[in-house]
Amino acid sequence: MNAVISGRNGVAVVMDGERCFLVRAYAPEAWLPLPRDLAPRALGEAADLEFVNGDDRTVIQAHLDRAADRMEALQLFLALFDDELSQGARHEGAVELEELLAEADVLAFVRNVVFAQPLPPVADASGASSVVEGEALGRCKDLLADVVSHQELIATVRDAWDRVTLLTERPAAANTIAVRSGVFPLLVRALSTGHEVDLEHPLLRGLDLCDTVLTSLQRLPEVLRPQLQQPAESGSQGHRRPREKRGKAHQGNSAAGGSIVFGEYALVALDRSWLTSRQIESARIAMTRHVKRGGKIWIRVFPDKSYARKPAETRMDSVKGAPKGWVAAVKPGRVLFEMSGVAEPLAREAMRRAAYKLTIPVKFIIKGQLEAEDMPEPVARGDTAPRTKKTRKTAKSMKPVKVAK
Amino acid sequence: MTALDLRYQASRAEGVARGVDAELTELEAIAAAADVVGSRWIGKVEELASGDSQLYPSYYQLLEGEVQSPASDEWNELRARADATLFPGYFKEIRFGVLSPDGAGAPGYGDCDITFRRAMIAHRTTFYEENSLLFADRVLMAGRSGVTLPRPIREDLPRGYRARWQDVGRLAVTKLGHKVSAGATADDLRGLLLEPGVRAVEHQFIEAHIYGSMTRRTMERVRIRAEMRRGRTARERQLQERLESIGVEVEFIR
Repeated sequence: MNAVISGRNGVAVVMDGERCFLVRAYAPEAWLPLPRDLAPRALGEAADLEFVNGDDRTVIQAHLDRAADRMEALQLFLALFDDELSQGARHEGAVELEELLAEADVLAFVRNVVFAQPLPPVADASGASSVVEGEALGRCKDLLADVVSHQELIATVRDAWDRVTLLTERPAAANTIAVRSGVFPLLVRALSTGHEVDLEHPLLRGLDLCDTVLTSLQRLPEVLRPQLQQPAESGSQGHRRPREKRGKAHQGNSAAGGSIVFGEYALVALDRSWLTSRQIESARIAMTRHVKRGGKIWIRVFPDKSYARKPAETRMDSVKGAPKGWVAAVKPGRVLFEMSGVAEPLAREAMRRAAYKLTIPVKFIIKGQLEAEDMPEPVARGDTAPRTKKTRKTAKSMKPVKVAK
Repeated sequence: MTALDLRYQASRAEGVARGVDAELTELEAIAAAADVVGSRWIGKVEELASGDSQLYPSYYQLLEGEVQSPASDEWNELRARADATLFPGYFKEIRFGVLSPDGAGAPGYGDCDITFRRAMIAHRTTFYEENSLLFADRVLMAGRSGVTLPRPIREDLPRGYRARWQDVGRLAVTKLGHKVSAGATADDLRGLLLEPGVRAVEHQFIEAHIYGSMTRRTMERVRIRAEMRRGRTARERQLQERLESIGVEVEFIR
């Protein structure tokens, strides 16, 4: 017996062999036979579908009732912020919400959803707070305070998440999985305490996440890092972003992404440069084609910096040109790509081919063999020799590059 | 004279011959006074009620927004051909409803029947004699006889099966005239306009095609058929309050 459940609509379509039923939440006595040709349409445009395989009716009915509880709790929580509703209707909702939040899974579900997206500007937070005052609405009040106090961080995480999932194949699906899995409260918590997002966190390791979400999570720390380095308490004060320093701040080796984290082999930058999104993609394709879709490849850099160019034959005024593309700013020592699941000679050759696509000298390294002495010395800006044929040849042959000291 | 006029006159002549002219006149009046109703599940109605920015989407907009997956392949193929023929170039903008004399919608599409405000949709609504998908199936594809790939639409659908709102009474007489018996009451005639069948393809109704977007302001009345929650009423009250604040009638049918 299989069922497709929509908690939002409070209905399920159950397939039992040749028979088909329409089931409503909280109505175990009424399983209505459903014509098979209506089954695909019976759930309408519900976007919260769950699939359940159960041997008997009680299992499926229980799943449906629970899903309906979760969606009702979410609906009632969001209604707290709706100033179109009277105080009485909001308060009545808060009382029922308090009862629903007693169930741990319902509370977790509401938390996961409301931490995934900042409240809209029209949300009446003060009205919501006044609605839950003065009665035994402890769970309601705690959740409300938690959500309202973290709005700025929620917006930051959402912005970072949108940026890292933009280039994935199915951002909407990745988002759904991340929301249901509780990734967003975890990220907000990490941000609020000023810590890095720990990808080895038991919660994240225990999640049944798809590859897209995992890939996005791997990139997320890079995007969030500037926020993580801000003092957490400055969040609500409307802090100004410190002006970027020129000169020494742009010198030295890469402070991040300097070790192999995911795979067994890696390609490391030996010079500083902007790598364009097209170069990164081209290198990835070169590697993927060589390993013939075997193994697994991680891209450790993300082109999150835009650059602009003015059209040809235009005057040299101070007007900035139109955005032309996206680059990743790379410093020496930065791991660009990682690979695992293939033999070393194959990985070495694949990365040699990828190196052709890049504009900087790079080096092939193996996990555990990346020692401090292998890392390049800092290259000061201006000291780098102009890129010549020799440089290209060095990259091609994958020999260690002579770096100016 | 239009093709619909010709069919209408033939139907009336047949009615006069059978002695049901008065009943046909009443049927025409009932159809002309009927409203357009769309059915949705409660979750969607709550979403629509939550603000003016929420839109009543068309089938294709749901597909494009990845909110809904397409129906089974054979229906998809048929739908693509039928919609391209009936609504060339603007099929993505069409919302479907049924002509309903009593606020009930077509069964199986949702627990909530939404009656739309005539003044807001009359100028952008047309009616089709039956489910346009089934009609196209019968006429264009002869019952899906082995065609597996969409073909370019070249054939015209027969004329005289479509009407503007001001002609919907004539369309109803044209379609249902032969079913009207002498002495039929007003309730009998209302029942003819919307006849639920056992299977989806057996539902009988006059289909409404509404062009363009709709919001909660386009709704006039909402009939909610199912009891929403066990012993909990806040959600019902909130929905009712939201809709009534903008002048939408709400009726709960237990």
